[in-house]
Amino acid sequence: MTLRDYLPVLVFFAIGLVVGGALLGASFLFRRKRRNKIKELPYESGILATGAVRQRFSIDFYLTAMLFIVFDIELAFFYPLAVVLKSVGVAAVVELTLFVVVLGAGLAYVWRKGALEWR
Amino acid sequence: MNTSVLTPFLIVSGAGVLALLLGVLPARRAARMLPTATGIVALVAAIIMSRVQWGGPDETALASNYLSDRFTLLLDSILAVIGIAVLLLAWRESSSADKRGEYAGLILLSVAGMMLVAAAGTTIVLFLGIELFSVSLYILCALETWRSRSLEAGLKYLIVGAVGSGILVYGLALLYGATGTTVLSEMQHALIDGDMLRDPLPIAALTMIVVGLGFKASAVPFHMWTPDVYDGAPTPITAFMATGTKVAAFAAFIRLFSDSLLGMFDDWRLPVAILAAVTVIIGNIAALLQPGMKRMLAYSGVAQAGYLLIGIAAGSVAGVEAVLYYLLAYTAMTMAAFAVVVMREREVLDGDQIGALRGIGRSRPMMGVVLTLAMLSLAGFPPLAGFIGKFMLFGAAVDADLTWLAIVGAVGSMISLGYYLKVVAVAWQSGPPVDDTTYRTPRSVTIVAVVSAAAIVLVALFADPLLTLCSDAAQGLIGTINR
Repeated sequence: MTLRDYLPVLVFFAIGLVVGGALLGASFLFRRKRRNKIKELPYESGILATGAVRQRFSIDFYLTAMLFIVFDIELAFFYPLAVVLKSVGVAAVVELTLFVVVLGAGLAYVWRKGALEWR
Repeated sequence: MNTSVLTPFLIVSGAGVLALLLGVLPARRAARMLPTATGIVALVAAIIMSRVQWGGPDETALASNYLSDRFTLLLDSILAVIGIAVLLLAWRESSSADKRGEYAGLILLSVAGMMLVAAAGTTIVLFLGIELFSVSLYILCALETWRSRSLEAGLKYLIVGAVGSGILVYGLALLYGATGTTVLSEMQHALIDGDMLRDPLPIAALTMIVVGLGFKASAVPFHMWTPDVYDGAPTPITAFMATGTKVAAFAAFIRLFSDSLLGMFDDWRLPVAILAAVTVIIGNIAALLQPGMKRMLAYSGVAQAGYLLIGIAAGSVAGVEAVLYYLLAYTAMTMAAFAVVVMREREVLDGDQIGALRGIGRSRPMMGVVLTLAMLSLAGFPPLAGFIGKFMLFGAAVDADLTWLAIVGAVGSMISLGYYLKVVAVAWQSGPPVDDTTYRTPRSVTIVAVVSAAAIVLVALFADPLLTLCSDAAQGLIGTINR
C-alpha cells in the first residue's frame, strides 16, 4: 500500500468541502436579506436565555456520568460475545469473566469510597 | 501460544486492583500497611517469575501481541525493582495517609503498563501499555489534592501527555496504513514487499512516532512539561516518573526503532541523532540555572534522555546494549538522589532546594555519601556506573560513524559537572546546618537510599556479567526481522 492508495480518502474530503461550501455559499448569495430586531435574537422563536451561562454544576453529575459510561461499555462487550459464543469458545468467556471481575472490583471501590451517594 | 509467560504482568496488574480494594477496607492499624505490602510481595514475585523464565526460549502469547524474550524479562525485573523502591519511598508519606490504596494500586498498575510496553509485540499493545502507565501517573501526580502545585502538575502532565499520546497514536496509525499490519515483527517485510521504504507515508509515521515518544522520554524540544511536573508531583512519584517512565519510553524506542523499523535506519538515524544532541546540550545548560533540587534533577533527566538517545541513534546491537546498561545505572543513581530529596523534604521547610542540603555530609554522613555517589555517577566520574554507561554509549556512537554525536555527549557531560558538583560541594560545606534533628528518617527511605547507592557501585563492579545480560537481551532483538 502506498500513499496513492489513500487518494479516495482525499477525494472524499474534497467532495465534502465542495458540497458543503456550495450549499452554504448558494444560500448566502441568493437569500433575501431583510434584518430586524427579532431576527437578530439568539432564538428567533424561543424563550430568551436569562442568567449567567457559566453556572457551576455539582461534581456528582460528572461522577455519575463517568460511572455510567464505564458500566455501559461492559454491555458493548457482552452483547457481541453472546452472539458469537459458539464459535469463539471457552477462552473468550474466561477473558470476559476476567474483565468483569476487574470491573466488579472497580464497582466495589467506588461504592466504598461513597461515589454512588448523592451529596 | 503459552499464556504462562504472562505471569509477571498478570501478577503486577492483579495486585494493583487488589491494592485498590485493600485501601478501602476499614482502616484498622494492621490493615494500613496492606496495600503497600501486597505491592511489594507482587513485585518480588514478578522478579522471581522473570528470573525463572530467563534462559527459556523466546515465547509469544495472545496471538503475538505479547513477546516474552530476554529483553522483556530484563526490563520486567528493572521495572519491578523501581516499583519496590517507589513503594518504600512513599511509605509514611503524608499524602499517602488516607490514600494508601490509591498510592500502591496506581503505582502497581503503572508498573504493569510499563511492563506491557517492554513486552509489546504489536503497536496496539505498545500504545495500550503507554496509556496504562500514563493515565496512572496523571492521577498519581495530582494525588496531593490539597496542594495546588500538585494539582497543577497533574493537569499539565495530563494535557501534555494527551498531546504526546495523540501524536504517537496518529503515527502508529499511519504506520499501519503503510504496512497493513500492527505486528511489529512483520513490519519490515511489509515495507520491503510493498516497496514502501522510500514512500512519504512511513516517513510521516516515523516523524510522528519520534515526536510522541519524545514527549514521553522528555527529549528537547518536547521536554517543557518536565520541570513543572517533576517539581509539583509528590517526590516519590517524581522519582518514579524519572526512572520508570524513562525505562518504558526507551523500551518503546528500542522495540520500534532498533528492531521493527531498523530497515528505515537511514531515514531515522540523523533526526534521532540531532534530537539526542539538542537534548544533551539544552538539558545540561538549563540544569545549571535551577535553584531547586527537583527541577535540577528534572533537567538532568532531560539531559540523560539525550545520552540514551545517542545509543538509539547508533542503531546497533552495541547501542541497544549500552542503552540497557545505562538504564540500569541511571535508575540506581536517580533513585539514590531522589531518596535523599524525599528525606530532606520531610525534615525541613523547602527541603527540595539545593540550599537545604547544606552540611548534610556532616549531620548525616551516610546520606551525604549516598548523595555524593549519585551526583558523581550522574556526572560520569570513573569508575562509577554512570561513567561505564556513558563510555559504552559514546563508544557505540563512534562505531556507528557518529563521532560528532559522541563529542557533543562528552561536552554535555562536562557542562553537567557544573551543577552536579555544586550539589556535592553544598552537601559537604561547613556552616550552620539547616537541620531539624528531632525528625527521624523512616527506615524505608534510608534503605532505598543505601541500596541505590550500593547499586551504583555494584553495577560498575559487576559491569561484565551485567553487560553480558544486556547484550543477551539486545541480541534477541536486533535482527529478529532478518531471520
